[in-house]
Amino acid sequence: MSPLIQYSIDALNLGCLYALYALGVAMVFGILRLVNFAHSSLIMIGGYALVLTAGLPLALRVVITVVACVAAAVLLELVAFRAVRGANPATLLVTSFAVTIAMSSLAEAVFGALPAAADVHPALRESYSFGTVYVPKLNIATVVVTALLVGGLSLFLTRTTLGLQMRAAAADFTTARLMGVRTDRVISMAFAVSGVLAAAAALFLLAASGSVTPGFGVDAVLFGLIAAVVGGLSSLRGAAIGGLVLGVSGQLLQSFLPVEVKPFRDAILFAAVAALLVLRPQGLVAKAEGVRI
Amino acid sequence: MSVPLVLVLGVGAVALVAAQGPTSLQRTVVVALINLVLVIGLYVFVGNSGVYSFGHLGFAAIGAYAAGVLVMPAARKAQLLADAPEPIRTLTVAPTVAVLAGGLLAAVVAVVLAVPLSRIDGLSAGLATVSLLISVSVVAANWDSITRGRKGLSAIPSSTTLPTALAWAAVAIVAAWCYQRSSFGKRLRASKDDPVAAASAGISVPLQRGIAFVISAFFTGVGGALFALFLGSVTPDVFYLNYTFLILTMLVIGGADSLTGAVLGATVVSVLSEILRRAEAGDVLGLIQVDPRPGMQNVVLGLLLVVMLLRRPSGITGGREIRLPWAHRRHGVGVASPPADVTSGDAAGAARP
Repeated sequence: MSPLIQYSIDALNLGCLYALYALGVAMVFGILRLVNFAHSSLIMIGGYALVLTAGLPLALRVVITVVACVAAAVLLELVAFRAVRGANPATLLVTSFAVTIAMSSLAEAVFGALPAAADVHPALRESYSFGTVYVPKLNIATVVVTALLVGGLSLFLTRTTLGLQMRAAAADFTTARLMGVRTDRVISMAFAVSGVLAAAAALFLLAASGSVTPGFGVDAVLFGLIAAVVGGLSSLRGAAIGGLVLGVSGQLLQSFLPVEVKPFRDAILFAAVAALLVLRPQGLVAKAEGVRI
Repeated sequence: MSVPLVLVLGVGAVALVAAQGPTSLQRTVVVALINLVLVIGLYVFVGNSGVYSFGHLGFAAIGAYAAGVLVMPAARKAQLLADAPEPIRTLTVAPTVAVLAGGLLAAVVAVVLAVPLSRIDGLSAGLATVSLLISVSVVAANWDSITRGRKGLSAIPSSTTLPTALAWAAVAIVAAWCYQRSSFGKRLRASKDDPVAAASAGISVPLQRGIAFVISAFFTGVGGALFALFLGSVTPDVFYLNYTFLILTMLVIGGADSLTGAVLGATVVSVLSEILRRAEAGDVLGLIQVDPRPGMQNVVLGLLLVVMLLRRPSGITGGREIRLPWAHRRHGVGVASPPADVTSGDAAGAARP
């Protein structure tokens, strides 16, 4: 019984992390139809913010990181994405890819290519043990914070005027604008929310890895993108569920694959994703929708 | 056929002039030609289908490893790849055959991959190709008996010279042109302008995309193979995001909608990167002294790409093919009129309720 519990705890942890990445990407995609590779730059900025503030108390560092990520997200939208708004999705996609590479190269020029080490909090390296089951405190923090963020986000989207406007904009931007929704405010807000999600992701990634490199967060966002495709690119619920499914199955593969095949886990996982797309091309959650003419 | 002819001659002229320079510049020219093959490989899919793929360099990695393993002499394989299965360990082929085999293996992988990709819409499909990139690099990093894992393949006898690279670039240009002007290419381009109208005219968009995907994978695999046989080594992280970015930048800056754009973009960015690389090393022709910073090359390229996308998203060529003044005169309306100018898409769009 106990190994089973252990596996589920590990799987839930990775699932929550992937959901966090996927939500950050889907938040922006829902409204702008922009696949935001540059979400990884936000995570990277969050990582360096945590490294640079290493001496300060944790609460202050978290606040600074969130502020840095949100500011960077809003600024990126203003500088890079506002001008291409409304261009076709492919142009948007390439723009965000270019921004990502430019940002990570800039980080390399400023901070150097070597990993910059920092600890988030010593307590996060400890774990609780119940008999043979080990629960790292970091996992608990990840799951709890993700749950809080997702809960807060859904409250925000359903209970506040701005949230309602964002949902309206995601459903049909043109009509939403006709109804008086302010484009710039809604889009900035979507980026700001993705900034908060990136800050959380940076915190957990750094706590797990212990160091930041210019490519920090890139792999995370690639997995987040694939998770969002698995769940159905256009809905937040789809992104969250896609992330959870991808993370849980990844961790389960990690636990149950024979040792000699284990290194190929990601390849096997993506083969499964390909198979899933053959069966459900519209993603796990989204309803099949015919082409509207 | 005048467009590919002009492009081949132009590329050949630039390459041969540059190759008169010092040895370091000659090596740069060969790399630029290999990059040109990779850009054309990507263009065959992206330019004709309008779907951006971020995973194509995975095919280059497949081609590189396949060719690298195939050309290695059996004696060296006995040392480096002692655990490889029997036929791989003993079989050694000529470099040209190995390059072809690399391209073919990439194409076979593309056939398998085209099935799931054809089920999903363009944007998601482009993103899903990222999983190919990750998968290939994971497999390359861990399949110790064939790829030597993280250590990578080394001591591959190098055989890619300026003439071979130039020849492959010419083949790629001509093949891309022939495909684009064939009925398959035209069907796919129609689906790029308006997928619904194309489908209603009886075009199977998934099938056409699949065909382009496989041809494109072949040339990308060839490019990867040439790369391996030039450098003499391959590691799992060569063909990853930075290289993907470089190739994509070349395509977008030139203009992803035309073959001329792909070739021009590859040339312009190659020249620019060489200048930036020298700037990173500290001087540009001795004229400007710059504080060397690693990574500045990509910052400049990234900014250039963003500015290009903001100001002129259709690239330098704006989707047009090169026009010859004399061909224009002879045929009245220009023999090389751009397929992108076809107005059927707009007409079908206007007919929508």
